[in-house]
Amino acid sequence: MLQQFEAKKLLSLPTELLTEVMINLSWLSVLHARRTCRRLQDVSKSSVVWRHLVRQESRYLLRLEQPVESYSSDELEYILLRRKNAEVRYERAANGSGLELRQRTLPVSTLSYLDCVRLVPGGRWLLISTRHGSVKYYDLSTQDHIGRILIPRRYIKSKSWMSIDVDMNSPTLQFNLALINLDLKVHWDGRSNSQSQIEIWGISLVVDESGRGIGLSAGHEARSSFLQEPKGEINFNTTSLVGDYLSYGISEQSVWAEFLCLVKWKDICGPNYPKRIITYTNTSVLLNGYVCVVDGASISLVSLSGLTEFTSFSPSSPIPTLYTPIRTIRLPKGIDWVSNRTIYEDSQHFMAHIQRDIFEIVVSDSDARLGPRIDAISVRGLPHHSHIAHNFISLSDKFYLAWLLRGGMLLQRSPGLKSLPGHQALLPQLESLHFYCTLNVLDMASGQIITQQRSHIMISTFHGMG
Amino acid sequence: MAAPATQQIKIRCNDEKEFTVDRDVLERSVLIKNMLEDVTEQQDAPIPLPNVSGPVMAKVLEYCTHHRGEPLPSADTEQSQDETRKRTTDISEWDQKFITVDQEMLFEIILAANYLDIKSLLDVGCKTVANMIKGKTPEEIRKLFNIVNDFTPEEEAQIKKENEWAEDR
Repeated sequence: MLQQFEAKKLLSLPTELLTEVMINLSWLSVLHARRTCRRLQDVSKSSVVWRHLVRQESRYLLRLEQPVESYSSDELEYILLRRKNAEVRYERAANGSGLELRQRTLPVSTLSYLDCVRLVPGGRWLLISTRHGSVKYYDLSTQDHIGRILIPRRYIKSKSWMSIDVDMNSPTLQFNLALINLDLKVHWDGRSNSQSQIEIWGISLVVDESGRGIGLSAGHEARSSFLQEPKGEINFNTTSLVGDYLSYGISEQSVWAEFLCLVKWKDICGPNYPKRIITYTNTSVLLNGYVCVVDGASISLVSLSGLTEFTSFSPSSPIPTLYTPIRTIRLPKGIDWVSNRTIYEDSQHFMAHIQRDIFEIVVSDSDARLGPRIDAISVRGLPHHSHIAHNFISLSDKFYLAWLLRGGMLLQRSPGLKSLPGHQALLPQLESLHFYCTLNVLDMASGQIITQQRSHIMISTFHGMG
Repeated sequence: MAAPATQQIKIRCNDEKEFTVDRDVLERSVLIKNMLEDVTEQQDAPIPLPNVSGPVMAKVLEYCTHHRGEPLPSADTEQSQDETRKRTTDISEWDQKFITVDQEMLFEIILAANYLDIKSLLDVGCKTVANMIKGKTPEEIRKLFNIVNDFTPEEEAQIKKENEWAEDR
């Protein structure tokens, strides 16, 4: 019975030493050890073990809202395993075994083309800006999805765009929200769109007495109207916010020209703030130090520092806006749209959507001598892909829906949705259009789709949409 | 000044086994180091180590002799390192050979390293046990360490179900 004598020895180690052993295990081995006996089960629930496992993961991927120490071991286990679960499911889905999904309903009031939907990186908070200029947030970690007001309504009718820029250096969730409202009421009356505004809100996590995050609150940072651009149609059809920079698109329908404005939003105080302006044809995404300009099937990386600043700009008599790309890559087909960027260790990522395919575009400054790299990776072939809550929903920009979000990455086209041209400015002047839209948020851990009720949306006219 | 390097210290284990060891070797043990610092006079009586047996101490001293002269982690950095230290399961070749012992000795070494406060040896021991667990199913882990399954069948089914998704990868 020598073996039995030895066997007692592992369990005869004091708990602190069993914990020391366990922090050298992977999450899967911890789960296996847990299933052997009660003693190891207890040890496997130690917060020391889970803090350690969580710290080994990239903070960019887990996107904890609060410092690791503020979570219980159960919470850390849930957070980590949710991500691991997403990876496992994603791999299985990529291998063709499919995802089994259940649905629950997110009682969002009817969405329309005027609204914009964004998921805050981390996967818990969903933001929806409405046609009245308000922004509501939904806590997806709860079952009762009540929309709470983050920013109050200010408009009779407006079209909104949002972009989120999370402060990765803050231990507690904090982000800037760029909110652009195009005032349609004023606009349609043929007057200047003086009520249209660009705003940057600082959003932070609200914590209760015990330090748990229970909501979001907004504090105002900057505001500007666009008084100086009364001519032509202004269409902030693409916006992204990264650090001090904000980008937004302007289209001039009479000449079918489109421009991208890049501004330092802290410098905005009055109409003639300095702008960097470039022409672009499709869409764009702002990165730290660069802007990626999408033209058909190509993505060009342009350095912000190489662009000239202007203080006045008229879309009808454009100033020279040429740019020299540092790098250009081509994808197989014309790109429909791109997500905002997210950051990981040393690289910036965004998603490019081509019909049913998604590519992950990775920009990295790996070598100071060689300059930045830009790579496109097909998402389906990427085993480790599982960007939690890629900031990827874009209801207003294009009439596609469904992205995946809380756990991994999957894109579906809503079956009831009619295919529309890639860009609003090119839409025919339809009198009406009927389509179904479904807002899907897929929680890979539970296999649940949190879905907005399929709503029958009627768009009565596109006149004046810009 | 050369005196500390050549100073010989006597220790006595719980089985009366005694060792006479160079002071710097023994000072790999923070416990003994602190004891020696508290004693200013040269002592002839051996330091009693009631929690360690002779054969285990011989192994521990083999480790300490091999690693003599290497810097010890200071108490301050140890704390902060514990927070941020990126653990690897890498064990150096010599350590790996050293720790290739039967399970009983392995756990004895871990307990002794913990008692004597030899952090690096404790790490080697714990990593070795972790490496034995890695990649094994719960049943294989039980078999390897002769662990008695004390769950009820219902409990076992429940735990298994909780993380079933993680299997069959």
